[in-house]
This record gives sequence, C-alpha cells and structure tokens, in this order.
Amino acid sequence: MRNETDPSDPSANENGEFPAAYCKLLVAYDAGERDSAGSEALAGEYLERLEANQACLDILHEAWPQEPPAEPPAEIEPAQALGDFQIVREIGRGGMGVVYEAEQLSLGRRVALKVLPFTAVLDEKAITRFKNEARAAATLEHPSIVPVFAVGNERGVYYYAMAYIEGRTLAEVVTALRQKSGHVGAPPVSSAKTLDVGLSEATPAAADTEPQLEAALSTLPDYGSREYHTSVMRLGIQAARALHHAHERGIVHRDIKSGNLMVDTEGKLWVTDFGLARIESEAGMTVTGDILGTLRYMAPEQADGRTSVVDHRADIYALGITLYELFALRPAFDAKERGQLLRQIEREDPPTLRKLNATIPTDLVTIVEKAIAKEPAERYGSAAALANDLERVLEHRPILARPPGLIARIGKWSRRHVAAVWAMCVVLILATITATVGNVWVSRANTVAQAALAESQSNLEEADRQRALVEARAAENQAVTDFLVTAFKSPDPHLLGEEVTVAEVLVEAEKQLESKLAGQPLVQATLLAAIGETRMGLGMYYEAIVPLERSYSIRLRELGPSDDDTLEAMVTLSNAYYVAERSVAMPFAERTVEAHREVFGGSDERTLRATSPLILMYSRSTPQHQEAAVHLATLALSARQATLGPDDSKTLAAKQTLGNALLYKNDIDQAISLFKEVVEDRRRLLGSQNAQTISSMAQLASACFKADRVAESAELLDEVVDTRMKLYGANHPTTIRALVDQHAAHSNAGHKEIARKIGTDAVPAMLDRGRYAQALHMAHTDEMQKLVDSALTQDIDKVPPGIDRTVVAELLLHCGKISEACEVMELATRKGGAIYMFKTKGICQFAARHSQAADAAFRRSLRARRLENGNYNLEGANPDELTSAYFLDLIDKNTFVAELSDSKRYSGLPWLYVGMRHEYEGRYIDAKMAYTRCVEESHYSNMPKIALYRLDRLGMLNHEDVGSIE
Amino acid sequence: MGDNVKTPVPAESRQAVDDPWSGTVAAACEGSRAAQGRLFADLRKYLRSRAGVVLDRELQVKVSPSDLVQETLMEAYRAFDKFEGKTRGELILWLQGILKNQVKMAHRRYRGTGKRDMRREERVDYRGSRASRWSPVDGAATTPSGQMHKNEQVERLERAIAKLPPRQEQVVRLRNELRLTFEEAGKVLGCSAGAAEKLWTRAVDRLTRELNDEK
Repeated sequence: MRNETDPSDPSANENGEFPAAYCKLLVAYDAGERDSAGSEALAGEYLERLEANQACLDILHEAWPQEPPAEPPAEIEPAQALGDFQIVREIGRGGMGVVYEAEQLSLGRRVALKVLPFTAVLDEKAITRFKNEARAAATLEHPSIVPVFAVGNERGVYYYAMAYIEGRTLAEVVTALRQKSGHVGAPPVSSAKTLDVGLSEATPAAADTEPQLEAALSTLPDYGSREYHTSVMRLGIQAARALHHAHERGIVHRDIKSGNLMVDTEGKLWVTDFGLARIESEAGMTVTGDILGTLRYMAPEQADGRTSVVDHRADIYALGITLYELFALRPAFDAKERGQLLRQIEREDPPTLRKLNATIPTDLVTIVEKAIAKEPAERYGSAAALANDLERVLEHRPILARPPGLIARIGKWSRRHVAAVWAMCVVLILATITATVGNVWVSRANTVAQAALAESQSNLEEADRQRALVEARAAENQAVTDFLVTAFKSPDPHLLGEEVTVAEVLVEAEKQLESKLAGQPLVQATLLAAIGETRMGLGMYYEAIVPLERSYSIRLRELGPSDDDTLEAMVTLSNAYYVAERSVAMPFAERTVEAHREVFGGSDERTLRATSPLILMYSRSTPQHQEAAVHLATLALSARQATLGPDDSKTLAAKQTLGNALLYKNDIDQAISLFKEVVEDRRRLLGSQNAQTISSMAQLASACFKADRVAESAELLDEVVDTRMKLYGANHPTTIRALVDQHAAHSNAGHKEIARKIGTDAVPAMLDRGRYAQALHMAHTDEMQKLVDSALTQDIDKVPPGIDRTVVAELLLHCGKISEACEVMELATRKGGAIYMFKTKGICQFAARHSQAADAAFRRSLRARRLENGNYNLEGANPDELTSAYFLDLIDKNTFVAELSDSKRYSGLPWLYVGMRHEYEGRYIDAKMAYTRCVEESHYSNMPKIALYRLDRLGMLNHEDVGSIE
Repeated sequence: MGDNVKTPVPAESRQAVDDPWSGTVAAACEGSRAAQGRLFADLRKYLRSRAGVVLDRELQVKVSPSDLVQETLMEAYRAFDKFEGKTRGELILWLQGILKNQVKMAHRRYRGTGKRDMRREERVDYRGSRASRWSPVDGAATTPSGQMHKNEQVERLERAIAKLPPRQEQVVRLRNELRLTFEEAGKVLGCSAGAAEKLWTRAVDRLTRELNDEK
C-alpha cells in the first residue's frame, strides 16, 4: 500500500500540499482557461512544475476528449417502426427482453421481434459474438426451427426478428396440465412471477389469448395416458431432429428448456431463440434470479461454468430434462436457491420417473436417464440417436440405450451376442499376433497390409523383430492360444451390435487379462504388447502406452533388464512414446539404446535397430541433437556396411536413415545424393514396383522439395503415388502422405491445375479420417470454409493426436470458437507434447485472454531454449519457437519477420501470427494489414490461405462493427 | 439491496445548463432504458477499474471484475427506480454503492464474512499486468493512422495511472475521464470539493512523473 503523498517529493511543503494558488491555477487550466494570470505569484520551482503538469493535463484531455453524449436511443413504443419492422403490440416483457408482434414492412409478414435492451451492459465483443451467432442461427432451415429473419441494430437498439408462431410454450402447457390434472405437492415448473421472471414470459405470443393455449392443449391427450406419452415422444422426436439439424451445422442452442419449445395450434413443435442463449447469459443472468429458470435445464458442465466446452451434448441433456418435466409434470431439479440447485445438478440424480409417473414405459425412463447423464460421454452421442430411440419406442422395437458400460450393455443381450463380441476380439488379437509373428496364414487379402508393413519395417528396421518373435518360447505361444480359445468363443462377427467398437473390445480384453491370466505374467506381457501395438495401429497412441508400459514392467520384473524380451519391449515402448509425443520419449529412447549397448555391444544388429527411433527423435530436436543424430546414423551405416555388405537391405535402410538425419540438419545436397544411391540400389535389387524402392523415392522427392528442386520432386512423386495407388489403394496412409507431397510439389512448381485437382480429390477423404493437417495443406483457398465446418462438428476423439488436433484447434480459433479451441489444446497437451502444440495452446489462451495460461504455454514451448539464468537462447530457433518468443515479447515484430524472411517456406508465417495477435488484441486494422502482408510475402499457399480466410471474416465484421469495436 | 446504497439527495442541484449529461440522466430517471444504457456504457470502464481495486487479488481468480461490473449494472437496471439523484456524479456514487455490495457478497460467498475491511483498498496488478505485459513492442514504428497513435497514448496513460495510489487514480478518473465537477468528485470520494481539488493536484503531479518514467 502506498502513501498518497510522496515524502521524497521536494516541492510539496511539509503537509504534502501544494500552495493554494498553484492548485487554483492547475484547476483553471484543466477547466480550459489558458490565461496564465496569477502564475507570477508562484515561486520559480513551482513554475516549471506547473508547466509539466499542464502538459500532463494536455495528454489527459487528448486521451479522454470532452464530447457531449450522443442522443440517447429512442424508446420503442407500439405503432413505432424499428428499421424495417412496424411494431404492432407488445406481447411479452421480462427482465431481460421485450417481445413485440411486428410487421416486416418490406415483406409484409408477421414477425416476433425480440428487443434486447441490455446491450449497454455488454462489451462490444459480446455484441459482435451475439451478431455472429444470430447470423449463424439465421442460416438454419428446418421445419421445427423458428426461422430467424433478421438481427440488427437500429438507433442503438439490438433486435432479433423471428417468425411469429401461434401457439404456446411447453412451459405454459406443463403449468396448465398441472392445474388440469390437479397436481399438487411438487413445486410448479414455471412460476413465472417468482423464479423464471423473463424468458418463459417473454417468448413470442406469450401474452396471447387463452384459445391458443386450449388449442395447444387439445393436441395433447390426458396426462398419464398412453396417448399422452406418445404425444410427448412425438414432440421430443421433432425437437431432437431440429437440434440435430443445427448441431450438424455446428450450432448449439445452449438454452433448450420448456420455455423455448413451442407447440403451435396444429400440435407441431417449434424450437425458438436459437442464437440468443450466450448473450443472455453474458448479460448477467447467471448471477441473478432470472437464471434459475434457465439453470434448471443446464447440463452440469454448462452450469458450473468452469469447463469451457459446452457442446451439442448440453442440448441433448437439456432436451432430456424437458422430457422429464413433461413426463413428470414437475422439474427434474426443484431447488429454489441457486447454490442448492447447482448442487442438485452436479451431484444428484432426479427422482426416478417411474416413481412420479406409474404408467410410463420402462424404455422411456431409460431414454430420459441416458439423455440426462451427468457425464456428457454417457449421453446420446447425437440428438439424432435420441430421436431414433424415441422412434423405436413408438414402433415397439427395442431401444439402443442401455446403462453405460460394455459389460452391462452386453448383459442384456443374448448369449449369442456375447460370443460375437469375443469372436471379434479373437480375430483382432490373433491378427495382431499373426502379423507380428509373420504366421503363414496371412491371407491373400492381406497382401496390401503386408506390403505396408514391409515398408514401415524398412523405415524403422523392424524386420528383425519377426525373427525374435518367431523364436519366442513355444510354451508361451501355447498359453496365449489357450487364453484366446477359452476366453473368446465361437466367431460370428455378423452378429455384432452397432455400438461395439474395436477399441471397446480391446478395453475388455485388457481387463480380462488381469483376472484370467493372473498366474502367467509373461503371457500377460505378450498379450499386453499385442493390445498396445493394435492400438498403435488404430492411431490410439495414448491408450497404447499403458499396456506397453505394463508389458515392459512385467518383463523387467520377471526376466530382468538384460533379457531379449525386456529390451524388445523397451524398443516398442519408446516408439510409442515417440508417436504419442510424450516428453519422456527421448530420455527413454536413450536408456533403451544404452541398455542394448551394454547387453549386445555397440555394433550389434539389435543395438542398431534400437538406435533408429532415437536418431529420428534427435533429428527433430535441437541443432546439437541433430548433430548427434548424424553421428549415430553414420556409425550405424558403417557398422552394417562392415558386417552385412553394401547391398544388404539393412545397410540400405541405414543409409536412408543417415540421409534423413542429414536432411533435418539441412545438409540437403548430401542427403539427396545418399537417397539417390538408395533408390538406385533398391531399383536394381528389388525392382521399381517394390514398396521399399518406392519409399526411398518418396524420401528423395521430399529432399528435392526441400532443396527447392520442385519440378524434380513432382516428377518423382507422380511415380510414387501411381505405384502406391496400385499397391495399397487410394485410402492407405502412405498413399495419402504421398498425395500431400505430390500436391505441394506441383503447386510450388507452378502446376496450378494439376495441384488443384489432386487437392480437391483428396480433401474429403482426409477430413473423413481426421487428417486435418494434410487436408489443410491440400485444400484450395476456396475450400477453407469446408475445413472449418468440418472442424466445428468434429468428434475430437476421432482426430489423431498431435498435428491434426492442433490444426483443428487453429481452425476453431479461425472461426471464433475460442473456448472450444482452448479445450482441444488442453486435452491435446495434457500429457506433454511437441513445441508447435504448446505454441498453438498459447495462442488459444491468448485469444481467450487468459494471459497467464498463454504465458505458461509459450514458455513451455521454449523449454529447450531456456538458459540457466532464466533467459532464452533463440539462436537457430524454429518458426514455432519464434512465434512463441514473439507472443512473449522476447522478440519484437520486426525481428520475428526478419528471422524468417529468407526462408521461402516460412516467409509469410510471421505475418500470419502478427495478424492473429493484433486481432486478439482488438487491433483490427493492424491485423488486416498483417494478413495482407502475409498474402503478399508468402511463396507457398498455406499461410495465405488462412490469412485470406481471416481477412474474409474481418471483412464481414467491417460493415458495421469495426468502428465501434475500436 | 437498494437499502444499503441509498443516495443522499443533494442540497444544491448542479447547473443543469452546463452539464451535457443532465438530459440523459433525467431521461434515465424517467425510466428510459436507452438513456440508462447510454449512461452505463459510459461508466462501465470506470467501474471496472474500481472493481479491480476493491476486489481481493486471490478472489479475482474466482470472480472476474468484469463479471462484477456486469452484475452491478444488471442490478442497477432492475433497481433504477430507487435511484434518487439528479446528476451523473450521484449516479456514479450510487453505482459504486451497488458495486461495493456485489464485492461484499462475493467475498462473503467465497471466504466468509469479516475477513476484510472494504475500506482498505490495495492496488492489485489486475489491469496493469495485461496492459504492460502484452503491450505491443513494435507499435510506434508501424502505426498506420492517428487513431492507432492515440490508442498507444491511451495505453501509456493507463499504465501510468495504474501506478497511482487508488484515491489519486480515482480522482483523476472522476475529474478527467468522467468529467465530474470537483463537488461531485468530492461526494464520490467522501470529502469536500476543496480536498478533492488538492488530492487531484497531487495526483496530476504524480502522474506527470509516472508518464515521464514511462517514456
């Protein structure tokens, strides 16, 4: 706490006071009097002081100019016009909004006009977001969604115009039904005057005449009858279908409740107020009485406000709560006080419906319970799934909803189904083991897989492993087979249920291992390794790690650190750490190599094999590590040349590894000549159509690309893609990777037409597989929106971790879904991650204005550059690190730009990030300039693609908002 | 809530002709939502700076000052008919009363009563931190327009103001940002107009030095 008078201040007198005359002069100056009369009375020291203080006042006056308040916006009265809308009458008024019946003059149609009088309370960002969301909602066209006609600002009044529906809200219907059926005891659903002041009251047509309510009610049979349940189900189906329609377009309602669902006079259901929820909660409803009406329907993750992710499943939950209310004629959670209500929502299950409504069918109880599960993951995955289940009840078919958990779900199936699940498991695990052991009965149909396997093996030099595993103990193999045969019964994959996935089966297998093979740890270890590797194959890298770690630790315990199998498990695990981008990857790989050296010696084949993942990791790390990588790779090559001869496939693989290490170290020419040798040798020894030959050609092509010999690269890649199409088909990952490179090579070689065709053909398939990074590379500028749309509806679990999730997060950022983007990166980096991931995480947090979290993430991405004294050494930093440094203000914009201006590949990149930073700082004009520079400075198309997209979005804002935002 | 924040009705009414806000305040008192909105929008930033000062630093993790201001303004909307003043200065005083109540409630909600004397105001680095940490390093070199230049100047000013003792900051804001008279400012600060003038003079002097340090 500071003292208000500064004791060290020499010119204030003992009381810390200025002379009264001084005070008067300064006050007069502040009031605009420029006459310096009276200053002569001041002592000299004060004169100088006065001038300085007057200059300070000039700055204050300039910064805060005296401006008369603008004309206050007019109040809206009936019979007035608001833009294109002629107010007819007020039909509802609540604390938060007034709803008018109005006529849209230009089109002569009747609308419900919701006026938001509270916008002055909100900051400009919130208003902009409201407009964007309302505009998005206005694009929805569905027979059960009340169309939004317009959203705008007229004389300072924000309004939202939607179609006028003749009908009643379900909240009113429930209240009427309660009275009619003489429900007592339970608290009322919507006592509009006390708890839910506002919205349910303020919905369109709320003040309409009683006949409308009668009409709405007459469409509903008596409460509790079978027909009543049927009617409610039909309403639920309509609402769920409408929500699904919106969800598919990336729009979440966020405020589904009985007050926002209307039944018209025909008994048809309408969802109202799309695009309004967020602004209403931002307007402070969350803290006051008004909230209770809304909070009652809020999913736990939405109500507690801590998690930023509120996705479509919150709508599913809210619809479930609404259905509960319709079936029970009382709210699911009835607390009258906010804290208590929150507790109920977060921790308590509502009374079971069966207790409140004796006639309700069991299936309906199950459906509602699934929809309102506390955990989003336990709810229906989509609103359509909920609608489908309701339809199944209508059609007297069995529903799909079951209490969560695979075993519980299976428990309700017939024994035959159980068998089918286990059969699936047998097939899978056998397939894994077969593939690794190299068993003879890999069928003809698996040729493709084999070829791919051979290629990956050539890269990671895993061929040896086959031999090692074939030599594995016969007894152990027998035990494995026994386990499989007893645990999993007769194979009949055709009977599989639609909800059982391979992943779930593996989870189950992992559990079963614990109990059924408790006495045989080595068998457990083998199966755990198989499960881990299967998950690796499925791209579930994080999930692969646990079984692989267990497999390793079991072997370490049972066999000791020097056993072949233990070392084998180390190699597999270090590969897994690497692909999962875990921070332990590198130290663990170092330990792995060390252990191999100790057991087998430095030039033993097994040691060399264990070294190759480490070389890869070193190559992708700092310059010193890259140096080490080249050193290790050179050693490995000469060892193999000495022991195996120059033409051995492993020698060639080692040469390729060295080439790679050189490429990372930027010795491009040397790398190219090595790759050329490998291609030639393989062509000679294996033929041109061989997977390994093709793999080395792809390597050569990417080196040429890096050396800017793009035409050469394009030509090579044409052949690679061609051959891989033949060998593996169009959807295989290696084919796709080649396609990406082919596209880049052609577009950089100036073959625009060819490139565009390659891209357009490939993007949908990539999005389908969640490969966003590749899709971003290949998409044409016009297709950015397609990517963004896809990211909006993407189930993030289905996106490979690492670069693809990072790209999803950036796409979400680009379309303004900042908190969602933060959440994606939070998850993606939960267990560590690569430099670029922390950079992107930092940007997301920056955009969300969490400056501390942003700081931490940026610093994390610079961890390798941190010096003892806390400073950072940015020499030779890569573009991601430079970006982080820029956001941390370790370097300024000019340095950032200058650092990369020589790089053809990255010259536009700094401008993109400068633009993003400006944009999130609210400096829109600067942001636009930076984006424009990005487009101008970039040689390649990726950065400008994003920059153009941002410009386009900013342009949209431009029409009316930018001025006010600044 | 309104009971705690009753506004003293001023004995002398401000010269209505000079005050550009008097019309808006009058319209707001008559219940014009639009006029209320206009007033609140103008005072929002000031209230936020107050909230940043009077809210405990640890509490700012749980309750953001912006949220408190939003709650305050919502509450004011609801209870505007309880506002009995005529000038903007009185309105500010009234709003500050509501804000104080919101802060008190927040403190009570999160850490029980009596732990903190609300009059003991401490500077917390809430607003200052963002401004200084994320301030553009390259701004001056590339500003495309006078508007940008002004933004930077405002930023520099905000940083300097953030270094003033709370009451000095408040008096500068009341006088120069919100353009209250010294009488009104004195009312908000709980002192006489003369004392406010003196406080303000010291504040301007201190600000001059802080601005020089900024450069």
